[in-house]
Amino acid sequence: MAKMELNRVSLSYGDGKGARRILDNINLTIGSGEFVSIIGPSGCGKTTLLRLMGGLVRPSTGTLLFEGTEIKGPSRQRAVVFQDYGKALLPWRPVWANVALAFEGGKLTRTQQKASSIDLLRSMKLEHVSEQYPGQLSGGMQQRVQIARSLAQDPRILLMDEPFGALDAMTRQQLQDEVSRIVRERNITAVFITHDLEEAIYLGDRVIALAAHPGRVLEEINVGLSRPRDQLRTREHPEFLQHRHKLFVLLREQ
Amino acid sequence: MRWKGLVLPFVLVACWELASRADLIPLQTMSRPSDIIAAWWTDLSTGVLLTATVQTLQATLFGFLIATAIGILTGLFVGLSSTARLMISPSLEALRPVPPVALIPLSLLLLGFGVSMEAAVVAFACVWPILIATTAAVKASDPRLHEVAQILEFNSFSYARKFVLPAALGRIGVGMRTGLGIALVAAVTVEIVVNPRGLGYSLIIAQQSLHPDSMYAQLLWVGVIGSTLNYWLMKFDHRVLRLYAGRALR
Repeated sequence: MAKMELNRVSLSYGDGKGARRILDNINLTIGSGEFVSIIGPSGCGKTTLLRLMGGLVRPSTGTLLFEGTEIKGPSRQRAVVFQDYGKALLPWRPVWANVALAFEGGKLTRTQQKASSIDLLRSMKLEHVSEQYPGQLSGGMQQRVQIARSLAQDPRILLMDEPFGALDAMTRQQLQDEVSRIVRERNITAVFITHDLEEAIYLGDRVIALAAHPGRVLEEINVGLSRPRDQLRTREHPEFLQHRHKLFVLLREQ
Repeated sequence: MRWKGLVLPFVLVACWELASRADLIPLQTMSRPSDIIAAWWTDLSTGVLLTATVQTLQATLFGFLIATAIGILTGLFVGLSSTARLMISPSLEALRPVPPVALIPLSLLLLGFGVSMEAAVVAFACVWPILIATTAAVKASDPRLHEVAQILEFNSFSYARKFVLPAALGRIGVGMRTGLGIALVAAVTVEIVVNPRGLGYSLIIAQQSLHPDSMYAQLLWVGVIGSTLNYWLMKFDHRVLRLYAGRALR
């Protein structure tokens, strides 16, 4: 069943002669429980595409359907993990209270909010920093806190915008495996924006490659690699290398 | 070495005392430091100084609290909503250049002598730095936080309380400190000009009744009050910030 459906979605900024077309005629269907990676050169509108799915931007033409209903604005059902974790977390709240933010306004009491937040942090092995402030943590840790908060809002889809773009290679790989595990365990539908070819293939059930100026779908690849994936074995697998080669050539010709 | 800061005033006061004793300075205009201290002690022990201090502080704090409430609320509105900004800003910009002292006659007409008219002028004088600091801080809040609030489906009130206000608090604190300094200046001014109460009034009385030593003593006293107020507000500021940083007012 389709979780998200984009029908001929276009987006332009400005009008008349000065109009800039950011996204052009995007058609995309994301199945329930699917992990879709979106890749493309910088300026191809991949972040904008994710913001459209999050309801943070409205399309100029075309429709976006989420579970059959048109997206009219942001919603708790669609969590967004931003690249700039430093700006998305509240520096004056300790880690647990940043997670608890997603419970506030719900039915839980204060005590239950804290308990649930700490449970979630424990499942991500972050319990030991729950009383610390975001500024005291490394970038990777902060991003995991943001992911924890996104999970706390109990979303039906997880939209991630280059979440590991600002992290070093080692941390990146650890977080790739962690996100992979979380998404599989919770059976969440996920959309993952990245500019890293290998990351896109490693994480995705499907990789969508975008072309730039204006942003449009260039190619779709189904990744048949088995799960759980392994940083060494998966990346050395012939199918992985084949996809990598194909996407590399495609994107280079852009 | 903090004591080094005391060297200059101490030397100056010593020179002043010596020059005065050598009859180099006319006593009618420049009292002797030792006389000033004596006058201060007399004013303090008779209770005159304390009564005047309480009266001045009353008006200062009353006016300051009104200004803080109005400044922060208006600043939030104007900073958050462009409609509010378009509707309110022109009126604010028209009012701002009015010298607070010019409002003394109006205030007197409306409220009569006493603490209310003084507090009203004080509030008008010190609302601006608080209002401007709040507006600027709110406008500077990161759009990313607004998106987070939207995704978590918080309403505007929760957004203001959980995201904007805590982020703006540091700058609002700076505005409040500036405002408090102005508040004391305004209160003493109103007392000197028209209101028969407080430190300003007893300052002018001391001068007119040819008690320059008492006048100097009170002048220095006003300075001490000002620094003390600022020090307390800084303390308070840190505490509020820490409360927010923790979990209160979530």
